[in-house]
Amino acid sequence: MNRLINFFTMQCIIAARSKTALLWSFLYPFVMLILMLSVFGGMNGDAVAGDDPRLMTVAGVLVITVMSGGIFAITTVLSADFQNGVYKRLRVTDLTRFHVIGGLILRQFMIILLGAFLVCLGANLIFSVPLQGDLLTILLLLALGSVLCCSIGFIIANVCHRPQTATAVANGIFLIMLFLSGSTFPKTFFPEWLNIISHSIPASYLYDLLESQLFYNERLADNTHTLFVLLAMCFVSLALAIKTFKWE
Amino acid sequence: MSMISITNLVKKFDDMRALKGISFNVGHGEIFALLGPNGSGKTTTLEILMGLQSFDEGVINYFDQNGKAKSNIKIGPVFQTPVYYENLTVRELIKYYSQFYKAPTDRLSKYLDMVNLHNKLDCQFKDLSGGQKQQLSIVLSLVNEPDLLFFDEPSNALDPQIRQKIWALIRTLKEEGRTIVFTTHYIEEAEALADRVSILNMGEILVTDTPQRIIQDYNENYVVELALEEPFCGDALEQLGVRNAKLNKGVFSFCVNAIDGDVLQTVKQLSEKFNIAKFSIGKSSLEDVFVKLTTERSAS
Repeated sequence: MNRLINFFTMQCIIAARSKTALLWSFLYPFVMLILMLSVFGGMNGDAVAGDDPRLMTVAGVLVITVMSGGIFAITTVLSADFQNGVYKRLRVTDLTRFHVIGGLILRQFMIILLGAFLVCLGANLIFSVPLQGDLLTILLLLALGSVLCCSIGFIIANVCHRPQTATAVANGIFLIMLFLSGSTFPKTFFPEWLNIISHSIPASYLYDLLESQLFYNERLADNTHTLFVLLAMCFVSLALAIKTFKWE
Repeated sequence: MSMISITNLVKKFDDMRALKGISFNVGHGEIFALLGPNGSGKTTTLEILMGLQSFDEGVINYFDQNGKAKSNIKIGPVFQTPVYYENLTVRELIKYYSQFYKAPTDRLSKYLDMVNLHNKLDCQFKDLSGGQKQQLSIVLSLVNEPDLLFFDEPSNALDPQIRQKIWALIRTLKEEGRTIVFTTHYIEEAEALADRVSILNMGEILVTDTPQRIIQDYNENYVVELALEEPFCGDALEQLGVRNAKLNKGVFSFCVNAIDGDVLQTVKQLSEKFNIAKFSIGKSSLEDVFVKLTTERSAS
């Protein structure tokens, strides 16, 4: 446990000193919030009376925050560190792959949490969006999203042999999830065939659950099926991330 | 008493056999060098010993001072290029790498003093010079009080002053009773530091012994060097019966078994044809053996 905390602390210091990490974790979601609320702020989508449709946009930006802090950050950082040999050196210490994966997911969760807080704060203070939903449930969903997206980032970095390839693959997956999860365009706009594809995308379930909290103000128990699929996807991707982890 | 015993180690990369059944032992407290040209299998061997790469055939055993088999050996690695997080300070690197082993952080003060890094504790790794980074890598390899140190080309691409400092540090570590296995393609490094040397070429060990014994057993004992005042045709040497002469910066050198009448006759004949600017006879070095053995094997 101590080693996990030490590795996590070390990673937090490294992230705090990295301008790229700060840009992607905080500035990018904030810019997306401003752009998306400016563009889609007045659209109704499948809004019902009494709900503020901008909450769907906030849910979408939260998913983008999770994806950029998970998939993008992990792939970029890890593939570069693999190539530099940093992990080859760490492998000779008493650290295990569980410490490394656990420490990095924990770090990214903290960064995502901070990014999500800034997004909600910006939405509320700049655009006067009235926030709602159960805080603990939203925290749980952000945690699950962090595990899921970081695991996808680990798998990409582990499978791709070169950082350039890893970044390209991460970009592709990020963009597909961005446009098909519902976080940028309401799924009601999608034709039926696109909805089928959308339902196979992990971020789609995260968006649905965050939307159910922020927009519909539903209980988590009302969406057990979606939650179960998200949990299963988390479990499978984390298992694959551990299985494929190769240190260099 | 051996600390590591390697028998018939084979490593394949797809169809290519990078190591073709190499065997050697390393004794407790010994400095052992793997000497070889680029691509000879030095780093692969070292990484297998560190547990970073798998191997296809062979046996590796580690033993304690009493000759009993030991599985949990503590190792300290130094890689060809220093591999640490660039934006952590020296102090932070020492702190975290110590904590990864649950080791105290003050253990390294003595070594930091030795390499003059005590005043760089708050510098980030990226701000250190290449030599300082490599010296810090060696110091960090000691955080867990290792029994066995693996240095992969520790003074590669460093200036002579830094190299001397690294050699001094390695000698200190030997005096402390540590076992060190290092790879190098600097022959003078192997000659200066190693108790024993294995010369590796194309995945095979050509010879393992002390540098002195290798020079004695595997080479003609003398090197003749000739510098001439005018442009010189190498064929002239061959016509005089001297084979394998090498030309380097205007100086011809060739090896002979003994300083006998034939050699002196050759030099006399040359002096009749050319003006000799410099003539010397010296004991041959490990470099001569290395070049001879690796060239012979590559040619065959």
